[in-house]
Order: sequence, then C-alpha cells, then structure tokens
Amino acid sequence: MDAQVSAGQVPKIAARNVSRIYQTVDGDMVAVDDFSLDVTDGEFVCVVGPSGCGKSTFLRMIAGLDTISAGSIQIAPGGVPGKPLNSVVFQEYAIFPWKTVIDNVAFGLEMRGIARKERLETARYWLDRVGLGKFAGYYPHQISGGMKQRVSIVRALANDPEVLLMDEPLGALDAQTRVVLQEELLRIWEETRKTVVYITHSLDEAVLLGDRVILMTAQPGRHLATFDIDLPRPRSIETANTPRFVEHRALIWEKLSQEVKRAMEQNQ
Amino acid sequence: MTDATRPIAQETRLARLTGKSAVSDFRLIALLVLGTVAANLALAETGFWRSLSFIAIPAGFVVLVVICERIGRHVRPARRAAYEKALAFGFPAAVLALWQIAGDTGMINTTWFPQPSRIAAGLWDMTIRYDKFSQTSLLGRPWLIPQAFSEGGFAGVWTLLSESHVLATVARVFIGFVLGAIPGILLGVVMGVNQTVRLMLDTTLSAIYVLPKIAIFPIVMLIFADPFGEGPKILVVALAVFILMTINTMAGVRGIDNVYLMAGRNYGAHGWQLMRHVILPGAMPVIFAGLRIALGTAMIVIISVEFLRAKQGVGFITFYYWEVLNPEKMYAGLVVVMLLGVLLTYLLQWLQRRLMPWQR
Amino acid sequence: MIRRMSLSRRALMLAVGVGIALSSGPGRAAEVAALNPPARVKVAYVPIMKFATLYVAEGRGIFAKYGLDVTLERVKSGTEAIAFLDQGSVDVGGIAIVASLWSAWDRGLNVRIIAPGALDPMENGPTKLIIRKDLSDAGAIKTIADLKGKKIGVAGGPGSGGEYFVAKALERAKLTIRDVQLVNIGNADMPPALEAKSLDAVLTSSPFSDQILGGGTGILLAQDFTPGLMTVAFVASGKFIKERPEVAERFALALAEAARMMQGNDYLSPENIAAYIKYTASTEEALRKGAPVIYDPNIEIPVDGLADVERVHRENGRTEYDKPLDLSKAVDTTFVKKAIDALGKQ
Repeated sequence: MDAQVSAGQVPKIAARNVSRIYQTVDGDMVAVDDFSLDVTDGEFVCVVGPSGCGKSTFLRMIAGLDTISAGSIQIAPGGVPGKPLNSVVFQEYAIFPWKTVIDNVAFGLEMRGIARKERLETARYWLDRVGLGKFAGYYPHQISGGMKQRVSIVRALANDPEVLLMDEPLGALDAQTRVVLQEELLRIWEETRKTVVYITHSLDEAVLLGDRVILMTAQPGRHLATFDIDLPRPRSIETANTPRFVEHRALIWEKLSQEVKRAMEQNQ
Repeated sequence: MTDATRPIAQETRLARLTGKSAVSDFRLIALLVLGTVAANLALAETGFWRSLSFIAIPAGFVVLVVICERIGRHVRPARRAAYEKALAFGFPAAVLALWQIAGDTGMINTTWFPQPSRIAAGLWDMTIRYDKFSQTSLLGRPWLIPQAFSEGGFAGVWTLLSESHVLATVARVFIGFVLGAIPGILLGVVMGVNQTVRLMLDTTLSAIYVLPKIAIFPIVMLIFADPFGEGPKILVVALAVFILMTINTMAGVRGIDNVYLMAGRNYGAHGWQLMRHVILPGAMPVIFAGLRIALGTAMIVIISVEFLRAKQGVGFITFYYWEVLNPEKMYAGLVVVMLLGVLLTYLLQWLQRRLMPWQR
Repeated sequence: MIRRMSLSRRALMLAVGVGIALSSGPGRAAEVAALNPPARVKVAYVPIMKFATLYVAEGRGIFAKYGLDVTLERVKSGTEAIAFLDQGSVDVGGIAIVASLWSAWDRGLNVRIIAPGALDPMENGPTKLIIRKDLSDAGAIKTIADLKGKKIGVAGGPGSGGEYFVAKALERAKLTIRDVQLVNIGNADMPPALEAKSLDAVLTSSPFSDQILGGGTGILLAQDFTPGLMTVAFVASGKFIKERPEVAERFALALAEAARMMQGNDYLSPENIAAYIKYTASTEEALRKGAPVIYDPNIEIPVDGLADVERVHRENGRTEYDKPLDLSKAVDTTFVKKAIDALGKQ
C-alpha cells in the first residue's frame, strides 16, 4: 500500500485496515472503510478529503475517543514512562470556559498528577512561546478566537504526548489569523519535531505543513492517494509562493477535484 | 433679535445639542400630562372613573411610558445610569405613593387595602413587639442579644433567637434547601451521565415534580415520630428542591458540549476527576438557574405549609393576622416574605459569582 | 320532643316551647306579607349542620314564601365571609364565633349579628375532650389538671372556636391554653395521630369522637364545657340592615319558622333531611347518628355567652385591644323581636 512506510522501520502510528461502521435505524453506515496508515516518528502527515469523508472519525479512533469496528491502531510508546500517547487539538478549541488560560494549558499535566508548581511552570513556558504570557489569568471568554486556538495547541504541547493529533485546528478562524497561526505552527513544529497527524480540508495548508499528504475518498472514507511533499524545511508562508509548492498543489488538486465532484454527485 | 425669533433660535440650538428637537418633545410631554390629568378628572367628576378604571389605568401607564421615553432621549450618557435607576426604583415608589393617596382620600377601602404607611407601621409594630402569649417575635429581638448574652451566655442568645418567626422560616428553608439540593445534584449528574438510570427515573420525577407539595404534606407528616415538629416541614421543602435540582442538573449535564467531555478524557480525566473538572463546572450555569427556581419554590412551599401547619414562622404570622382580622399586619407579613425572597436571591447570586468566576 | 330531659331551667323552657310548637303548628306567620318583586339575598356560609335553619328555610320554601330570593355561597372560613360582608358584596354570613369577629367590631366594621345559629346542647354535647387510652391506663392523665404540658390536638388555629372550647375545659382546672401545647390539626387527622401517639389528647366532635372512642384508642375525659353556647351566628352586612330592613326582617322570620319545623322528631323529617343533605356534606346515616344540638324556636341571641367567648379570646391575647368590647354594637335584636312578634313566643 502507498501509505505504508518501508519494512524494517517501526512506525510511530500503525493503523491497519481500520473500519468504522455506525449502526442506525436505516441500517449500517460505513464512515471509514479498510483504511491503513503508518506514520514514522517525527513525521508530519496531513489527511485531506471532501467534507464528511470520515477523516475526523479516523483521528478520533487514533485518539481512542471513538471505537474501532474492524482493524487495529497502535501508537508505539516512547522511552519515558507516564508520557501520554496522544493529545488532540480540536477544531472547536475545546478549552474549558471555566478554567483560566494557564489552568487550561496545565490541565493534562494536572490529570497526570504533576505538582502544581511544576505544571504551572511548564504551562507558562508554552504560553510565553506563543506570546500569551500576560493572558495567563484570563478566562477564555475574555480572549479572541485565535488566542483560544493557540491555548488549545499549547495545551496539547505542554502535555508532551508521543503523537499530536490535530483535527482541523484552524478551520474556524478567519483567513488572516489562519495564516499567522500556520506560521506559528511551522515554527513550533520545526523546533519540536513531534509526530503529527493533521486533518484539514485545505489543500494549501496540507502542502505547506505536511511531509506527506494523504487523500481520502468521500463517504465511505477510503485511502485514495499519497503524496510526498519534498519542499525544503524550514518552511514559512513564503514557501507557498515557490513553483514547487504550486506544482505539488496542482498535482494533488487534480486527484482531489475528481473525488470532490464524485462526492457532490453522490449527495444529489 | 426680536421676541418672535428667540424661541426658534433656542430650539435649533437645543436640537443641535441633543440631535433631536427638545422643545417639541417637552411640548408633547406637557400636552400628555395635561391631557391625562384632564381626562381623569373629567371621568372622576362624571362618576365614570371607577367603572372605566380598567381602561384608565392601562392608558395612564402607556402615557407614562411615552413620557419617560421622551425624557430618556435627552438624558446625557453620563447621566444614563442615574436615569435608569430612577426608572427602576421610581416606578414602584410612584405606585406606592398612588396607593397611599388613594387610601388617604378614601378612594379605596383601607380596611382591606391598607395604605403603605399603615403597613409600614404594622411591620414596625411586629418588629418591636414580643407576643407573650405565643412567646414569639418577628426577628427575635436582636437588640436584646447583649443583655441575653451577659445573663445566659450563648444559651441565652439561642433562647432569644428561637422566638423569631423569620429565623424559623429561614432555618427551614436553608436546611431543607441544602438537604434537597445536594442529593438532587448528585442524582441529576448520575441521570445525566447514565442512560439506564435516566430512563428508569425520568418519568417518575416528572410526575412527582408537578405534585403540589402542600397536598402531600399530611402523608409526609405520617413518616415522622413527631408529625408536628420540624421534620415534615423541612422534608417537604427538601423534596421540592430535590426534584427540581435533579431535573435541572440532569439537563445541565446533558447539555454539556460533547467536545469538552472528549477533551477531558483525552487529557487523562476519568471518574471523579472528569466529574470535578468537566461535568460539574460544565453543568454549573444550569445548576445555578435551577437553584434560583428551587429557592423560590422552597419559599412558596414553606410559607404555604406554615400557613396552616406551624406555630411559628413568617407564613404562620401572616395567616394568623388574617385569621384575627388584622389586614395591615397580614400585608406586613407578605412584605417580610418578599424581603426574604430578595435577600436569599442576592445571597445565591453572591455564591454564584464566587463559584463561577468565569461568568461575567 | 327534646330527646333528653335536663334539670337546667333553660332546657325545661325549651321543652315547653317545643310542646307548644307541636300543638299549635306553623301557620301564624301569614301576617307578614311576601315581598313583591322578590328581594335577592346573598348568603355566605360554612357548610356545617349548625346553620341547619338556613338550609330548611331555603329547602322547604320558607324564604320563597316571604318573597326572598336567597342564593347560598359556600366559603372556607368566617374571616373570608366578614370581608365580603363589610364590602357589602354579601348580605348575610353564617359565621363561627371566632376572634376575627372581635377584631372586626373593634375596628368598627359594619357587621351585626341578627340571628343565632345552633346552640350547644345542655348536656351530652357533641364536643368532647378525649385522652389517649394508654395514658389513661397508666394513670398519667386522670383529670383535666393532669393535662398540664400535654399535647392537645384541636381543629382551628389561634382564636378559633376550638381553641375557646379547650380554654373552657382547662378553666375547670384553673389552667390556660399556655399551660398545654395546642396543635392545630384537622378533625380527620386526629384518630391516626392518637394511634401514632403523636398527640396526648384531642378536642373533637362526631363522627370523629365516635371513631376514636369506638376504636379504643381514646377515653372520654370531659364534655359539655359550654352548655347552651351560641358557637355560630347569622351576621348581616350593615349596608343590608340599613338599606333593606324589610328584607332582613323576613330573613329572620324565615329562620325562626324553620327552627320551629325542626323541633323534636320533626328534626329528622324527610323534608328536613333532604335540605340538610343538599347544603352540607352530611349523609342521612351521619345525621341520624349525630348528637343533637339546639335550634331555639324563639331564635334568641344569647349575648352573655358571646361576651364569655370574647373574654377568653381577649385573655389569650388573640385581640389587639385589652378592654372588654362593647357588644351592643355587635348585635342587632330588632329582627328577631319582629319575627317573634309575628310568630308568637313559644
């Protein structure tokens, strides 16, 4: 299969023939069908597909937040005991309105029983890195959407998971804020080199951020194609202006547009 | 400048200042006031006022609203807050003043609708009076506390305060409220989280919810060894609060956005941690809305129970003064009930601000 | 005839009265002309047997005979009726003699007693003070004096007729209601409360007293605290008396005539029973078993008894004033006098 890395290497994430079937009164509904994906350590993989293709479902199955109907998903544990396997950044931010910014960031550490002083230090470090240090004591309703998503991202990073799972994290933001956060994400990722699975419906975003872009078919979600993005790192927003970027995007778009059209016809 | 041009100049200046024509507004207000007074006087003179009061009173209210809105247009932003306060407190004050005047001039029967001044006098008399027959007073005569303390210590103060109608009612409401709210919230959380429990209990609770608690009071009395003691009164309050809090908490828990539960689980919260960090705070706004309603219900239940089944309490004293035909003190009792309601609601709001700092 | 003879002078007098009533029969009242067109009278009443003359006067067409178009409206309590009477929205109220009446007269409310309701019997009255059987067996309560500090259940709250009865019972042992614990409880709740031992004694009347005594949970301690007492009365609105005295006169006359149709065995005549059942919640069986009360054929208003009730309520702190009330403003005997003039004294 295209999505699998060569033999001999132990993948960080190994998803094998994963299916998700929902039982409804109208009969079974297949959301994800026989989907396989291996992600190596330190790799940034973007999954793109038409709306409702089951990409978010797939991510939630990796996170253990949704049950797997068939197949298996495994995340290889790291050397440090007690370190969480995954942390999710949700599209709807999902930062708790009843906790201050810093308590939100420290939440995962608190649940792992890390002492208050230590977890607040870690949280403050990450807040400073995204320029939110002086908003530590604020409640979410007092800050903007872009700031909320930054908090959501550093909440995941502060938790220091084996893999980072991002579910259209910039989907709800306006275009300008989105660009700023894309750059910020690039900068942070290139410093940390976390293993990332990144769900998005934006092709530009996928090509700009990912080492690999996986295309999924419309419902049921199957593997359609895999593209390796060999754009040099460090990348920045300027990368989007290079001819290589445009080439990659055109190539993937050709494949994706057929699928999108098929999906639209299917829905009619 | 001639006399004829001056008013016009003034009007344009004011119009520029306020953006609207002040003079025409004030002219309209004067017209409305004069018109309303004249219309009412005409009705009163011809003897039709009483039979047409059902039109005259709402019409007067509408005119008052129009006048206030016109005045409101010319209030400077700096004075806006004061204007709004004046409306909020001025209107009830005006109603009371009208009531007073109507009573003083004999327009209403003051035996059954005593003027505010007489109600206030009744309230004052109730406050300072110690009823040596029933050994009760309204507040428990707090001004005697120093003396009671020096004579009998804390036991003396307790004896003094236990004669209070207000404290008796507040204690019943408070204890019943706590005894009902805590298990209600717990069961509500369980029903919000667990579908099986919810399906089993939901219908039953909805059925009990609509029962008038005063109607089941005789049955509640049978449960207790001392049916005339505090037990049944507290239990019936607790029951009303319990049902309301269960239903509200369940709604609050079910209303929590699923993404928060997912986030909580994904970041390692399980069991009690998930409850404490996600479910309880997530349901808190609805829980507090429920507590507000439950407090009102608790007051209604205890006052109605005290009406017939108590020897002490604000409800008892209110009904007692009606039974012995002392209407102004009955009204005074109702005023105490309202004051208690306002006070307890403020207390709950204070608690809400303390427990939910994330809400504005 | 009155069912039990008594040594009391009053009872003898009543017995003689009944005898005359039976021999002469009704019918002398024709001298008072019927009103034409009929006058409307609105009466508020608490549906108890003590207002039975009202039910008979209406049910057997005596009101109609005098041109009175009477509407009967049930009310929950006397205080409620007083409010309507003062407002003039009700003409006559059947009201129990309770503390609110004293307060009404003290405040100058324009209401007057124009005729009595039923009077308590001279002996073996329906109101009984009953103690718990186990307390009696253990010897804990043998006399009224032993009730000191005990819990006594009574229907009606502060200033009620029930409270007055308890006060009169306790007076025999020189106790007051503050020497005991009074518990306000409905009559129907008393039998289970005694059984559950949550009360030590109760003051109640038939059929609840029969139920307790028959069930073996209680023992009769005392009765007949207030022989011949007027516990209820017909109270008229001052406006009604002033503006329509001819209507008030015929109203009292009809009540007196009704009382004369209820003496002795006539009390349970089929026509009377039909009237009782129509306006109360009673049943024929209960009526036959019930202890008799007095419906005075001369409908005299016993002012002395009234003053005693006023005194007891006043001394128990149920009034705002503390000097005896002048009851001359409270009673208007004109209409009773006119009725007896027309009917002849018995």
